[in-house]
Amino acid sequence: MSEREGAAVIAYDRLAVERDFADPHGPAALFASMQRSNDAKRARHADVDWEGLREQARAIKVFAIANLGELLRRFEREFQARGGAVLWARTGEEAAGAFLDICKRHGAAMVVKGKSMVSEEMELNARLERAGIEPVETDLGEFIVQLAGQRPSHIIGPAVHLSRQEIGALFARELQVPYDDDPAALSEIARRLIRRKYLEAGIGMTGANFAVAETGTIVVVENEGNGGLSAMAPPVHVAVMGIEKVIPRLDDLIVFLHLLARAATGQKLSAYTHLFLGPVAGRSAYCIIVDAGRTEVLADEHVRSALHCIRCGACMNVCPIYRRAGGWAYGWVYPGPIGSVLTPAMVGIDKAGELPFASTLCGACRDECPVKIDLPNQLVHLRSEAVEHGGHASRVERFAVGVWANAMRSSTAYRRAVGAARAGRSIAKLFPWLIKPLRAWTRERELPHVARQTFRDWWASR
Amino acid sequence: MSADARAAVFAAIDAALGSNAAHADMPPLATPARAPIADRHALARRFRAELASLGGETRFVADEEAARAAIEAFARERGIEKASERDDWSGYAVLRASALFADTGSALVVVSDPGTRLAPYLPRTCCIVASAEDLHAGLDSHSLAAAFEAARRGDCGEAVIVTGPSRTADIEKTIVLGAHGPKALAVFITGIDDTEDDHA
Repeated sequence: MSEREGAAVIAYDRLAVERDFADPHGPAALFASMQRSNDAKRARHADVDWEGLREQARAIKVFAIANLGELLRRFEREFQARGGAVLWARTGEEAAGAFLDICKRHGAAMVVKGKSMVSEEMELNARLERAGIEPVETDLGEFIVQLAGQRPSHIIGPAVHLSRQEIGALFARELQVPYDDDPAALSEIARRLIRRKYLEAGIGMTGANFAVAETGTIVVVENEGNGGLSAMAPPVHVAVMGIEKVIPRLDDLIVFLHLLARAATGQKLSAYTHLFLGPVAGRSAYCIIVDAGRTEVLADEHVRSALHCIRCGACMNVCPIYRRAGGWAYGWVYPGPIGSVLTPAMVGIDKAGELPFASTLCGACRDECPVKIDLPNQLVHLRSEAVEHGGHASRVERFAVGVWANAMRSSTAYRRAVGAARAGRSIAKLFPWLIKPLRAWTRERELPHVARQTFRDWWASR
Repeated sequence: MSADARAAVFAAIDAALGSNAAHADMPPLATPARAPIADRHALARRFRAELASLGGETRFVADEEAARAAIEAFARERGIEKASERDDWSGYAVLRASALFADTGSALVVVSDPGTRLAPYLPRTCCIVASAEDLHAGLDSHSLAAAFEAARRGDCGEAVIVTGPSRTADIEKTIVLGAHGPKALAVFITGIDDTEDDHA
């Protein structure tokens, strides 16, 4: 698909990185993230064959992606057979347009929203507001960030960057309630406020964790009950999903249900696993299926398996960069290692070419991923793409790599380069201004020491 | 617009996959054969322990009539009545589970009646009745049969696996029960002798 998403992509947000590094609340968010990861680890080994499940999940996803067209056609047929309507969208903007058309058709003035990352891609809230329709986020974390006018900073914990005191002050300011920073009290305030909205809204929107081709079933996994209320309370349910969410059979779902909650939150199962079968009498159901750059990911064999992602957020919880920089630093909807792959692959390397460099390549994300996505290798591939497309390596970096490449071509050149490095280090110590172009690197590090003699010289002198 | 988009999305998928399309083998069905349930009473105890760890409670009762009486007593203890819009759903609703999963403390509820579609979510207290015959060790295609059959038949509504009361941990990861759905969840399992359990 030639038309790409990404007008709103800020790419790698340096300002956000600097702000988040300086944020005094950073350590709390870090702790929450680490705790989530540790809980997940404890739970997953308790009572299931974790590695066996991961391998099964990977095999199912490989099959689903290789047969994507056929499975989507089957899903569409089965969903329609149960009384639902399927709409397709090339871009997020087109998906938002389709959503607005449904709102108009049903005269909806308010939309209650369950959690959906695709709706973030669509910038649905802003587009609904512009059309005079009130969007109400019902997931507590999403409700908090909507109230704060922010974006989610984690796909599972959208408000992980905010302390209870900040949320208490936000509620007092925006909802005109007495200040309280007890999570139970804050949750109760949100519950009471949103409860009436479910019954007043013309449309309820959810995402989809999985879409079962065999039966046209939309599966949503959540903890709060807001997904069930959003789908079942209003007269119209609209599920919005990416093309990659389809799985072949109901039985395949069992594998993913064993994995998803364990990887995401450390629970054995989330509080609610909904299998939406079809609209009951007098109600309507729609499913908007969105490409929005996913076929770009599909076309690149090196990163194709990023489409296997089940959005558990586990890779973020273990990523040393995410833990320190936070979710906003990634500039778009998907943060963490998976975001560093998906964003440039979906919106274009020219718009987000710095993201693949936001990784230590430690491999923790690959070890953690419940569907075994090889994220480090994908990041390396995207780095080379970024460099080839230009603009992502400085002149100094290109010069240094050129010198290194020449030095490694022959033993004589290598010997000379080592000699030059030895001399260069001594000169740099005497005249530090000479290495000014490297100051970002040398500010917190010493230049590496060069051995007084090479191994070959030492061997020859024995 | 959607018809154009549909054609474009499928064309993009075909172009992206090229000769790789459909070359992967269908993975074998994941669920292994089930072991027969040797001790249903032990399974019930495991269910009760799992649900308790999530903040729910389980009561063992002899039969359906005993379940009704136990639910009435449970409601009296808490001073609540059947939930309705009049009292802002502060009371309780009673649901019937098609299956229980001991490993996770979960109940499978299939809702196809438009009138009761919100019963799992709106009331502050949720009571679920299930037979000991419907106790299973965990999730598999056999234990999920009621949901899968409803989906394959083309039934409307939803099948929902309820695992403990509604919860959130969105504020500093502190768990709060009753986020949007019920704050209290009680499961009444019929066909289990409570006295026998007390001696176990």
